[in-house]
Amino acid sequence: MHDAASPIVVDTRVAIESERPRPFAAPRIVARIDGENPFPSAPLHQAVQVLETALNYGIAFLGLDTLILHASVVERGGRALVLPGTSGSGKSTLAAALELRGWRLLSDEMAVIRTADGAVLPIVRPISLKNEAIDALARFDPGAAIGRRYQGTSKGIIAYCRPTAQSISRGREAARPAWLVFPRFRRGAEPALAPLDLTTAFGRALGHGVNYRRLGAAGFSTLADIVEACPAYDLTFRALDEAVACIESLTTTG
Amino acid sequence: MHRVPDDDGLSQAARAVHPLILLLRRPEAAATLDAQAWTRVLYAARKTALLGRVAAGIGAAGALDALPDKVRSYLNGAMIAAESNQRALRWEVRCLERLLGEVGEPLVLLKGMAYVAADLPVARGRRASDVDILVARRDLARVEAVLLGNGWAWVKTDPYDQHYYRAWMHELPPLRHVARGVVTDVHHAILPLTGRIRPDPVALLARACPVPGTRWSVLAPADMVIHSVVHLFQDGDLANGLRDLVDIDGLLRHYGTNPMFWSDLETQVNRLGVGRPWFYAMRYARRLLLTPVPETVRRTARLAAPAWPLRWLMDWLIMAALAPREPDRARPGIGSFALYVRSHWLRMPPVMLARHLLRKSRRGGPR
Repeated sequence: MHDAASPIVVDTRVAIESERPRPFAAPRIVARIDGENPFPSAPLHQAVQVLETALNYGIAFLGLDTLILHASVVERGGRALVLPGTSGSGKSTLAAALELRGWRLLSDEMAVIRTADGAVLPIVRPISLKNEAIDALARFDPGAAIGRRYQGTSKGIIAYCRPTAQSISRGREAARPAWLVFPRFRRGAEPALAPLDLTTAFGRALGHGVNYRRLGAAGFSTLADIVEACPAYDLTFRALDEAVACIESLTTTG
Repeated sequence: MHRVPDDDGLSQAARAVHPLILLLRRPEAAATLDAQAWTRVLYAARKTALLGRVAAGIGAAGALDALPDKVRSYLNGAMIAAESNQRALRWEVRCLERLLGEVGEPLVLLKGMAYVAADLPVARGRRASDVDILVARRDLARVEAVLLGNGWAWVKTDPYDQHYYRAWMHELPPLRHVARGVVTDVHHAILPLTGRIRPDPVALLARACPVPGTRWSVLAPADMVIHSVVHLFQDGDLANGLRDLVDIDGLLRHYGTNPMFWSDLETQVNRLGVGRPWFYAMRYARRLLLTPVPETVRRTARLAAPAWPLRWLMDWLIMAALAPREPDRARPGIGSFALYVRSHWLRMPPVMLARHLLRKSRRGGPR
């Protein structure tokens, strides 16, 4: 949110406002992106979630020459681990856990990949945790900086974990993707890391695309390059420490 | 400060030109813009879907590399989006050609996809939302049957909309291919049936120019311009006005190097009775985009101009409607003036105006 005298090129304007739908009605939160209002209004206490959604939407529709996947991204030693997944897959929680074990967080929600060179660009923000994942992360690392819980959202209970100082201070450093891992949290399941062939990996990654169609041929090339360069796996897990162990074994030998 | 002396004695207000307009006129000026100017350009261009064309212009001028990374990223993104959009629509046009090639004669592409098919400079970086085609009235029923039988379905199934389109807009209601999701508008005339304008679809079809290697034709250059001019004023509040004006400017610059084009244009303008919208289009293209128009053509066009007080009112209304949007400032409330403007230059009879208002309110605003 910069003013007109700023020397920075402003990408988009996101505004969170409280408005009364009718006189004397309870105020509700409305998001505006560049003046447009794409979401239904929400109760006042969900302002933070509305801001989060609005920022995601704003980024997804910016129109940069980047391919965007629903994924968490963490990095170590200059190599990025991309974790594509939908809500509930455990990608954000796993990214938070890896960050607490020394990985740098680039994003908990969207992998933003430059079509020009395939690099992943960071969007470092508080990590969104839902329902049981909040307690799971707190048990995994009692030192995790988890904030207050927000009740009654459309996704249940939400809390945010603050990124580490390292992630924040290096928040403008791009990274090169090195592994593609599709996390799947499943209660009681034995932890397993199953390799995927090229075509399956491409199709699965494509399923998490946010703006793939808009990019056309450039999107295809970018995704194909990533899938060719990065070994891909399905990761099934029931506990964070087991998942982290799988990732460590993958990324220290590979 | 820019002063553009108008040969009617008016001169442009001595105000700095909006950077988007500057880039449309002179893409090579991209290197001179600061961060605040780019912020304004990105915002305005996004609202009018013109970023791709701005990018294409800057690219053609060889001025892309000198720009800041973030700006270049946006411009590249816009060009990528335009290219993928055109690719998808080219495929749609190919599918339509295969199905309709034997059904209609001629098959005329209109607007964006016509510019692509004719490989016009104005097509570069341009995004189109639909495919628009023109067929002879006698072929309409068969075209409709073939499309419905091959995977297209009505976007609007309401009987009122069906009637409205066929009776007043001279087109089939929009059809969308269920698998590909692209919308095609099938027209049998391109000028609205109103008091002043005398539609002559048969002549337009007869003048259409075949596109080599395909079964498609495109309108003759003068007719392309006239269609664009009428389209510009189709929505009273000129919501997409600047974009349409950029089309008109591009067509006039490309075809205007041929002197035969101007005489043909004047003949058609006269024959189709679109003198007043042409006067306005020419006036604002010259004023905003510095489109070169020969002096003789300007003089003839002015014969259809309204009286002075009205001309000033139109200047004020139209320039406000066409002005690039600024962040944090609502669109000027053109409101009911817009209907006046539209009814004025197209001399729409009150009954039609009422139906048009009803249509707008049902559809929730301009297309």
